Amino acid sequence: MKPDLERLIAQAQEELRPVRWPGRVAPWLVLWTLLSGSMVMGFTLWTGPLRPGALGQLVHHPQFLAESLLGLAAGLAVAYAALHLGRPGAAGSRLRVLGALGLGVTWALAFVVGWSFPALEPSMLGKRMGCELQTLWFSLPPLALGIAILRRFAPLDRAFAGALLGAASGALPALAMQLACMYDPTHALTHHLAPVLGVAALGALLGPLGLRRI
Amino acid sequence: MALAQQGDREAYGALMGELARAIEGFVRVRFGASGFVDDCVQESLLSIHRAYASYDPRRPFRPWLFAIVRRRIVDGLRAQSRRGVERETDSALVEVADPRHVDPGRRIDACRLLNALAPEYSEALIMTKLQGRSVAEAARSAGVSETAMKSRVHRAVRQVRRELERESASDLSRDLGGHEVGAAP
Repeated sequence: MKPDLERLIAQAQEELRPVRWPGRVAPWLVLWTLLSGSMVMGFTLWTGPLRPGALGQLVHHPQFLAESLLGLAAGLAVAYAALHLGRPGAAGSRLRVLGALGLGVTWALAFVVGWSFPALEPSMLGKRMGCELQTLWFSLPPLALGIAILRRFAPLDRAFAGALLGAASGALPALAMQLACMYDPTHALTHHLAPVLGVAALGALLGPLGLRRI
Repeated sequence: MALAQQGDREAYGALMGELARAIEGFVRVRFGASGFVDDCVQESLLSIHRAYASYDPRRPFRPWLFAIVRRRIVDGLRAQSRRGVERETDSALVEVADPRHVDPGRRIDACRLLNALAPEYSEALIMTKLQGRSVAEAARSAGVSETAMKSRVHRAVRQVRRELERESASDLSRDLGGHEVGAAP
């Protein structure tokens, strides 16, 4: 073997450290979800109350509950797909990404359906000033946490992985705004869901900067 | 790899040595002999070292390895023209590049992947990426405009990436000599 390769291997051996949860995505997804969810709810409650009766609406209006669960599922699925991108050659990565994005699109379509069949009676009750900016701001800590976690993995396409992390991070405050801001399908689309695209774009920019090049 | 992830440096050194030989064979079969092969081996080993935490020992090792090596090859090809590095090439590659010295049997054996490309793409890739010639020089040599040569190079790299993606893990398995390199014990 060539001397420079031998040196490289010796150096690599020197730097070797035991790995915790090698290649496993699920524990990191749970950690990200718990910490990010707590941060987003904490910020949401810190900056204002929930919409009056919002929790009761989850119980008494099945369509609203379904809409909210769809948003939660979309956010988690996108985060799961993003973390999986950190495992080179993982089987079904493309399908996982398409499925997660499909859930996200379905969530948005649920509000389009809401133009004709709203889950709740549209109203200005609980309106937050600057809810779209809050959605953007509240998504930054989950995005930073997601990048920190994904640095332990090895995403080959860092921009795309960053974009997915951004979308997942944006989905959490968008979901929180379902409970904390006024309910109106158009308002939800333009002020809560649209910022998710902005966070995804930010993630695509930050991904190559924050994630390790392998 | 599973042992290495637990901190076993000896196992890791043995694995890296075995992978270095396997990757060298893998790249050499597809691109012939050149400085590019050494670069690819080094870059791939570095990437494997940076990514070892991402391998799940419950999953097959080869797709993980192959994804990294494939990426390094394509990145390596792109980097060649950005750096404009003059590469030393050995006689096998010169034979492929220069139709006057072609030995068809050796071409097929030496550069399976290059020969999967259309002749004009293969020629463009060899001149600009493996021999390190400038686009202008390659264009003059091929008798086409610089724009056409750039387009050929771009398409050639894209086709190489597709070909590499198409190759199944079983191809890699053959290159690895049929051993389950680095698999979980």
